Amino acid sequence: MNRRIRLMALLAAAAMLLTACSGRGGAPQGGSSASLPEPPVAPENQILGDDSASLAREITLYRASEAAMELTAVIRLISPGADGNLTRAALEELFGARAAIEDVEFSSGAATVRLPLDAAAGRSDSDCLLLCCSIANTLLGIDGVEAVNVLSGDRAIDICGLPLGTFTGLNGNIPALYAQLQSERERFAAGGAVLERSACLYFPAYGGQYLLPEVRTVSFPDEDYASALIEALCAGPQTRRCCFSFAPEGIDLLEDAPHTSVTSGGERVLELALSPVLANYLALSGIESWQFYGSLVLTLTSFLPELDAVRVSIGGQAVTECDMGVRLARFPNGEMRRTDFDSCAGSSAWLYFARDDGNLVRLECAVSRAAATSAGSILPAMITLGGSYLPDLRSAFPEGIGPEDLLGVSVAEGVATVNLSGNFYCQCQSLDAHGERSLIYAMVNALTELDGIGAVGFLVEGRQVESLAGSIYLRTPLLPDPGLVRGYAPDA
Amino acid sequence: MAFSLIQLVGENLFTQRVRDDQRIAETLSEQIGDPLVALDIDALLALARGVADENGARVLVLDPYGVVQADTRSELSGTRLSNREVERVLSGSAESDYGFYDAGGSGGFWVRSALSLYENVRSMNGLYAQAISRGGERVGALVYITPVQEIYENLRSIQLQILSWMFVVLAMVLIVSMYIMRAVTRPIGDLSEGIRKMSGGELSARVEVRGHNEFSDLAQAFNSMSERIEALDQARSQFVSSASHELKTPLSTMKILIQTLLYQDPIDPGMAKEFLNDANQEIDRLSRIVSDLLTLVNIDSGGMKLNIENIRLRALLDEQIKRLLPLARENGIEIELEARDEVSVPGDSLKLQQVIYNVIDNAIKYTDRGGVVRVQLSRSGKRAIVRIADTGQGIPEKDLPYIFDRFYRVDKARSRATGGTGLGLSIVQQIVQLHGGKIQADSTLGEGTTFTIDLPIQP
Ligand SMILES: Nc1ncnc2c1ncn2[C@@H]1O[C@H](COP(=O)(O)OP(=O)(O)O)[C@@H](O)[C@H]1O
Ligand SMILES: [Mg+2]
Repeated sequence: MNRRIRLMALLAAAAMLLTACSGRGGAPQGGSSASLPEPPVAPENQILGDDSASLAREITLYRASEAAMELTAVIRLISPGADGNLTRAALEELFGARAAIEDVEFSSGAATVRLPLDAAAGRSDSDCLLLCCSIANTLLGIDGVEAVNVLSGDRAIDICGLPLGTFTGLNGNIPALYAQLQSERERFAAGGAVLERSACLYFPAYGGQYLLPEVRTVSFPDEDYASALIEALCAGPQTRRCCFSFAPEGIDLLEDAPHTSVTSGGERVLELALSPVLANYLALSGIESWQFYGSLVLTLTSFLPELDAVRVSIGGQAVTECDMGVRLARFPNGEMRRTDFDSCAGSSAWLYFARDDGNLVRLECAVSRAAATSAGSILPAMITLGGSYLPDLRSAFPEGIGPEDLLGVSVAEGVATVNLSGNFYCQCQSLDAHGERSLIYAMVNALTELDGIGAVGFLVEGRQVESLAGSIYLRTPLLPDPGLVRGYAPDA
Repeated sequence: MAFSLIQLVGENLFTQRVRDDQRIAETLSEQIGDPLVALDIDALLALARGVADENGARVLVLDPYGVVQADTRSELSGTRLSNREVERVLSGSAESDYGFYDAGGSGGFWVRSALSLYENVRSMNGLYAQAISRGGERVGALVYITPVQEIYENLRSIQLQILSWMFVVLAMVLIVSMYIMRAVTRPIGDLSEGIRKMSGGELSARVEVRGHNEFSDLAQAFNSMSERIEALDQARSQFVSSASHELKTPLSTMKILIQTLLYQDPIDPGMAKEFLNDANQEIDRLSRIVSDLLTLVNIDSGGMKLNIENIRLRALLDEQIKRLLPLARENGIEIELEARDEVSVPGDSLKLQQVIYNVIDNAIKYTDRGGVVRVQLSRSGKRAIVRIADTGQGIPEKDLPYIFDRFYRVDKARSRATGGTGLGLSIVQQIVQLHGGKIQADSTLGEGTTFTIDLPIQP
């Protein structure tokens, strides 16, 4: 009997084994020894500097034919100039002459074009409008350009006695636009009508180095454009999250209505009498005076027609100088000009910071105008900005890495190749998988935000490496991963 | 069978899912090639996420070297995926491939898992890899991952059910077979145990009879056989002891007689003669016993051959009565024969003579002086009936069943005195039975005894 039971148990065990085996059979087996193809070995390529600027793009130029009051579109392949400024190159191509424009200031999607002082002088209003539209349409066709401001010299242009404001959309039918402006003028002069214009409002950006424009529609109930603009400035930035308001809300900044005076030299100067409260506020809030004056001057001169300078007095005291951080700016006769603050206008770029979980925070940050558009400068900007930019934010770069560790960037066929230094490589060795991922994708995502870059490859001292810290494979270019981006909530 | 059933159900469930996955992955891989080549992550992700969200799945887009360029969950981006399926697709050995993975532990897809019951998989995933080709060139691979935990668990529960049913069936089979074994092997075991005991000499061994089937019949047959063997054995030993006793008695008598003579000095001739005469009688007796025994042994061993011929019974009876008349007269007994017709039976003449002689001899011997022995011959149907009745002392009822036994004598002294051996009736019965007949004794104490011999007329 005992033996029989043992036999039964043996049989049952055999049955179990059989099920186990048959279960395994459910998944397809097969000893395929296929392995992944290896990427081709690229020759050593010591990239130094930044050659991304030379990338040519197709741009539509809108040429003005003054006789017919219309614009004709021509597509041209245009390479950015030596400074990497595609907007300027496009305008030079449009006018066929270098001298036709003085300067293009491209700042966070807003391009401010300065024509020579006499560009508008000899033209009729309609011709002037045609010229502006030709410029605006051309520039708006360029990736990243969202608004265009046209100045003649340092002065905003007026058409039919009204401020033109900032262009934000293409205008195809110029005669219709001109007619609309004329009727607007009539209604506005009659009073009661409200004038609506897009205006470039300049706000100080976090980081304390730059002023950034925000293009917004502002309503002007009367010809006191300055008051309306200052009110809009006091309301603070609405879309540009990296900027802040320079004035406390609810305070009446202006002691008196602003008025324009004409100097002996024939220049038009806007007189602003500001409340003495402001001096205390600026001192307490930590907002630097150049940020405040710069915002005011850049905003007002970009919009108010034919304005040359702004004269500010606080509590009756004329402001004649201002600490610019690195130097002291003096304003003769208290006249603050656009050129005094030109250099303050920065640009913004989407930079990436690390989170502890290996994900990324994507923030629009104020950077120099060059960095915003150049592959070579955006990563150094990201390193220098680091985590100091906002509280709770961590740089994706490990300690010990400086801007000099980015040896060079080159762009070809939509793929940017970043050459990292040996030091960069060494500093990354101790990263964990999360840290490595956030570092690599901070760089990839930031670079691919730039126009014309779709993927990013990496070299270390000109040579291909398998990986920085073991988990991200670096022999092939990487597409960005927008899915890694998480929100940044500094308040939380 | 149960296992192949499980297999079948499982494969069905999973092939359906694999087919669905294949359809989705093929469509998506055709669409996704363009954005992948154009490095357009937004378009690529939009396509991938659309499909992934719609199906609750996960989509990975790999470059030709297995690097994850897009992951709808952004977990594996930038890593190199070296699953078997991906390797096969990217190395060009297959256009598509699929496998199952347990993503429960690691969250990754490195743990290939079998659809087995014995691994407790927490997050079973189907992984379908499909090549992304553009203009005949392999530009990457699409990995489409769907959770199949639900299907897996269904299968698991089906498997468990089938298995538990199987165990129930197994247990039942076990119980039934054990019962059958008990019913079959136990009686056989008992029987063989009984046979073993018997061959070991324990003739009283019997088998317990249970139920009504072939085995109980066998047990019964065995029991009756062993009863017979036991009886035979008893009879044999009794026979041997009786025989030796019977043989010893005349020998010791002779020994005494001869010793008495040997110690007499001088020998009285008269007495010697008388003693020798007695010894002679004892020798006669011995030789009778021995010849009777030989006859019986002859019959027992089947060595007795009947010399069959047609026997006329009336003549035979007549002859035997004539042989015994002197003895009858000596004892003062009258013999009558009543036989109207002659009856012929097939038989051995000498043997039948012995039968009749013995029975009539008994009747004379055990009837007192002045008695009558009546011999009747009649015919009843196909049988011849010989009835021998006397008016003797009769046989006590308690002895009647044993008178045919060997050496059985009701009154030993009388039997000895008349020269009986106690074997006569035994031999008679044996011979009658050899002829296919029967012998029966009826007796009333003090009135007489009747022996009825009945023989078949036709053989
Ligand atoms: N006719 C008879 N009347 C009474 N007793 C008889 C008769 N025949 C046989 N017996 C009894 O049966 C016994 C057995 O008979 P049997 O076998 O012939 O032996 P025996 O040698 O004693 O005659 C006898 O001893 C006797 O006691
Ligand atoms: Mg006798």
